[in-house]
Amino acid sequence: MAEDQMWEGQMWVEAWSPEYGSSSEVDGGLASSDEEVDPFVETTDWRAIVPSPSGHPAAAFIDGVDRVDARAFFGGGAATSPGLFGSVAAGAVVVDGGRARFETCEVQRWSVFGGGADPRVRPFSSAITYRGRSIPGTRPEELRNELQKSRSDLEEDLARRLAREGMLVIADGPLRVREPVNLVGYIKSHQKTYLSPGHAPVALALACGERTPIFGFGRIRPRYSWYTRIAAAPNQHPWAAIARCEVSTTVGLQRAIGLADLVTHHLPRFASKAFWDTRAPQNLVPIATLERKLWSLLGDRDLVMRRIRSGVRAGGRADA
Amino acid sequence: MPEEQVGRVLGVEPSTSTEFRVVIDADNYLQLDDLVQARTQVPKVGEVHLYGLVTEVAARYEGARFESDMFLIAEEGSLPAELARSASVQTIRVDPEIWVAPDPGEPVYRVSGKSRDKALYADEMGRRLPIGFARDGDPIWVDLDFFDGRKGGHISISGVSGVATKTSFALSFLRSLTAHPEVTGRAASNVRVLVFNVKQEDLLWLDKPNRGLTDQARAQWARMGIPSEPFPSVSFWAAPRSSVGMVPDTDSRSEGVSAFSWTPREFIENGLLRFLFAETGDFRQQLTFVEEKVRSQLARLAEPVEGREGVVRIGTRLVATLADLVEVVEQHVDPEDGEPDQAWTGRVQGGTAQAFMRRLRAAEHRIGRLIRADGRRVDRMAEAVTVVDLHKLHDFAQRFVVGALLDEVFAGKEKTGQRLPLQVILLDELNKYAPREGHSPIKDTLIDIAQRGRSLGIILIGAQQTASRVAPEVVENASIRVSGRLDAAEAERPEYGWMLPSTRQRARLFKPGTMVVFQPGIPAPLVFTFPYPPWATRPEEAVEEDPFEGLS
Repeated sequence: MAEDQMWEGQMWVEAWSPEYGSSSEVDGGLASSDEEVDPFVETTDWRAIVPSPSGHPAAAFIDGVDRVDARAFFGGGAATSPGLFGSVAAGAVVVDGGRARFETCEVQRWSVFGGGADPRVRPFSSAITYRGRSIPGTRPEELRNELQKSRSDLEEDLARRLAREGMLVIADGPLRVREPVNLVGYIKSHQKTYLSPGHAPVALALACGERTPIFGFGRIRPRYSWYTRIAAAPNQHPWAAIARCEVSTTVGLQRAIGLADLVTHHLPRFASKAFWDTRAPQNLVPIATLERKLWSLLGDRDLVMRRIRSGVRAGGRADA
Repeated sequence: MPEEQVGRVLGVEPSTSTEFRVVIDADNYLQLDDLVQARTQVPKVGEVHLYGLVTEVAARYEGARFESDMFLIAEEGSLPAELARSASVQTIRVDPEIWVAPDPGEPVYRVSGKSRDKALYADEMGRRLPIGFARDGDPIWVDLDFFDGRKGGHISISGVSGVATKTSFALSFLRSLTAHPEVTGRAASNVRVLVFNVKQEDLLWLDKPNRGLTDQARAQWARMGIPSEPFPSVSFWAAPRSSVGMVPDTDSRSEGVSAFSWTPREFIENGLLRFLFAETGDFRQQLTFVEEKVRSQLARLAEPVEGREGVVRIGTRLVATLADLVEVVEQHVDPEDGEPDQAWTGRVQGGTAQAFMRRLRAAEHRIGRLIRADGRRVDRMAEAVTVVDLHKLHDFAQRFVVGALLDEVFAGKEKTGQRLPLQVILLDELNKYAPREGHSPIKDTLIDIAQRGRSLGIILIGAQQTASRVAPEVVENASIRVSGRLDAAEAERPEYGWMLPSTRQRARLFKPGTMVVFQPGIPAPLVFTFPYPPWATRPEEAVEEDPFEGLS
C-alpha cells in the first residue's frame, strides 16, 4: 500500500470489463444465500485445503450460447401473439493428452410463440430450420426464458453424454443434472455467499490452487460445493479470481472430495490472463474460446435476420 | 489416375478470376509451384475449370488472437484452435474461357495426367520438348515452335555465376533437342551447335561419360526420353599454343582438340580487322572510323599469291602473318617519315591514327598466333556440337574470336538463305559482347542475330549474370526466358517482369539445378529442375575408355 495515498482503506478496479457487470455483486459485502447451508459436510476444521498433485485427467469443458435472431408476431384478426426466432448452440472443448480440441458443437434454431400460438414454421432454407415451440405466456422474458431453456437442455444433454462416457466434465454455470457422474458446475461470478461471516475469510485468504472445505446446500437439487482460487490476484477485489464449484450429492461425499481436489489442482492451468479476456481470470481459456466458436456457429446475425424476413414473407416455404 | 482433392476455394476474402486461395484438407498438402484445378459451376455456362499455380502457402491457428496463445495451444493444451493451412493460387488457364472467379467452397484438385497437360498448355503445344521436372516430379516442356523460329526463337538465360547452372541447363536442353528427332523434325536431326567455353575447361568433356552419374539421374534422363550418355558428336577447338605448329593451347585435354586460326587472306576478305576494335569505347574514340578506312583499303589492295593459299600480296609486300599486316598498315597510317595517308586514315587527328596503331601492335602480340598462313578455320559442320575454347585467351582475343565466328555464321546463313540446318549458338557473358550501352561490331552482329536470326535459322542461347546489363534488343527477342539464382536486387528489375512476385522473391534462393522458365505459350513462370548431366564437366569426372578393352 502506498504510504502517501489520498484515501484511507483499499480501492480496487474491477478486473472484468464493465459490460459484464461485476464478478462479485458487492453491496456491503456479498448477500447471504437464502439456502440452508451445511458448512461441515467435509470437516469442522475450516481451513484452506491444498490438494495433492494429480495427473491430468481427460476433461471436457461445456458451454452454450443463445441469441434472439428476430422478434415476430403471429395472429389473425384482432388477436396477435408475440414470438421470437432464436438460435442456441452448445459444445465442448476436450482437453486430453496435452492438447485441446473442439468436440460436438451443435446449433439449434427455435421459434417460440406465446399465447399458445403455433404457426408451425417450416424450414426457411436447407441451412436454416426453425423448429417451433409454443408457451402459454406472452411476456417477452417468458419467451426469452423458453429459448434459454432450450440452450440449457442442449448443454445438459451434452454434459451428461460426455460424463457418462467417463470424462471429467466441467460445465459453465450452476448444475441441474442429478446423476452420479463426474460433472462439475463452474460458477465464475458471485451474487451471494454461501459462507457465514466466520467462514468467508477462509475463502478470501485462499492461495492459488487451494480450496475451502466442502459445504452442502440445496433443497430441490442438493449439491456439494467449494470455493477455489484459480489465480493470484494481487491488488484486486478480495473475491476476484475466486470461483465456486459444485457437484451433485448423488456422487457421494468421498467422490465429491476427490473431484474437488482434482478440479482445484488443475483449474489454475486454465485461468485466463487480463490481456487475454475481459472476464479474466475466471473466464477459463477453453470456455472463452468455446463461446467465441459457438457465437460464430450461430451465423451472421444480419444474414440470419434477412433469411427470416424473406422466409416469413414467402409464407415459410423452404428455400424462399 | 483418380483425381485427388486437396482442398476448397476459400471465401473469407473474395476469390477473383486471376487469384484465389485454397484451404487445404487436413490430410493433404500443397507446396509452392504445385498445379491445381478448381471447378466451379457458372450459370448458363456449366462447369468451368480454373487451372492455377501455387504461389504461396500459409498456415495459422484459427481462434488464436495473441502470439502467446501458441503456448496455450501447443504447450499448455488449454486453448483449442483449428489449424488452418491455405495456399494462394495464380490462375494460369481457364477452360472454357469464361473468366469468372471460382465459387468459394468449390473443390480444388491436384492436377495429374490430362488435367496437368491442360494446366501447362501441353495440349496446345505443337511440338513439346521435355526440359526438366516440375516439383511434382513430372516433366515440364517447352514448345519448340518458340525455339526454332517458327513462332519465336532464342533463349535468354540469367543467373548468378557458379550457382545458376546456366550453361548446364543450356547443354541439357541441347541434349534433349538432339535426342528427340520425332519432336524436332528434320531441323534437329541436323542441328549444328556452336558453344563457346569461357570458364575453365568445363566444356571440353562433353563427349565423356560422367562417373558421378547416379541411378536416380539416369532414371530422370530416361523419363525425359534421353539416353543418359554424353554428347555423341562433338568437336573441340582451341587456339594454337604458339605461332609455330598447330598444338591446341589446353591444359587438361589435348586429345581430340584441334587448333584453329585464320589466314591473312581470310582476315582481310572477311573484314576481321573490325573485331580488333570491338570495345564499346572504340567507337567514341573514332578508332572504328580509321578501322573502316583501313579495312576497305586492305580489301581493295590485297591480291592472292599463287601457290601460297592463305598469303596475300599488298603492293610489293607479302603478308603471311599478322606482323606483316601490321607493318603494311603502319606504312600508311603512321609512317616513320612523312604524313599519314588520308585514304587510310581519313581526316582524323594524328593522335587518333597513333592510337589506332598502338592497338594494332598490341593485337599482334595477343592474337598473332591466330592469324597465320597455315590457318585452319573452325569447322562448324563436322560434328553436331562444336566447342570453341576461349578460356585461356585474353579478353581482347576472346572478343576477336567470338566476333569473327558469329560473323562467319551470320554471313554464311545470309549467303545461302537456307534456314536448315539450324545453327544454335551458345554464348555466355552476353553482357560483355552485347552490353546495354555503347556500340561494337559484336553487339551489332548479336542484335542482328536476335532480330533476324529466327528467319535465317540462327538461334541464340544467350546467358548472362544480369539481363539488365545486356542490350534490350537481344534480351527482348528471346521467346524463352530462363533464370537460375538471381541477385536479390537484380530480380527486382523490369527485365524479369515475366516472373511472379513470389518467383522473384524466391529466385535468390534457387539451388543449383533449379531454374524458372517462361515461354509465350504459358502465361506463368514455371519452376523446374533438370537432372545431373551424364557428360563430364571436369577432368576428374570423365570416365576414360580403356584403350586396351577387348584386347586381352
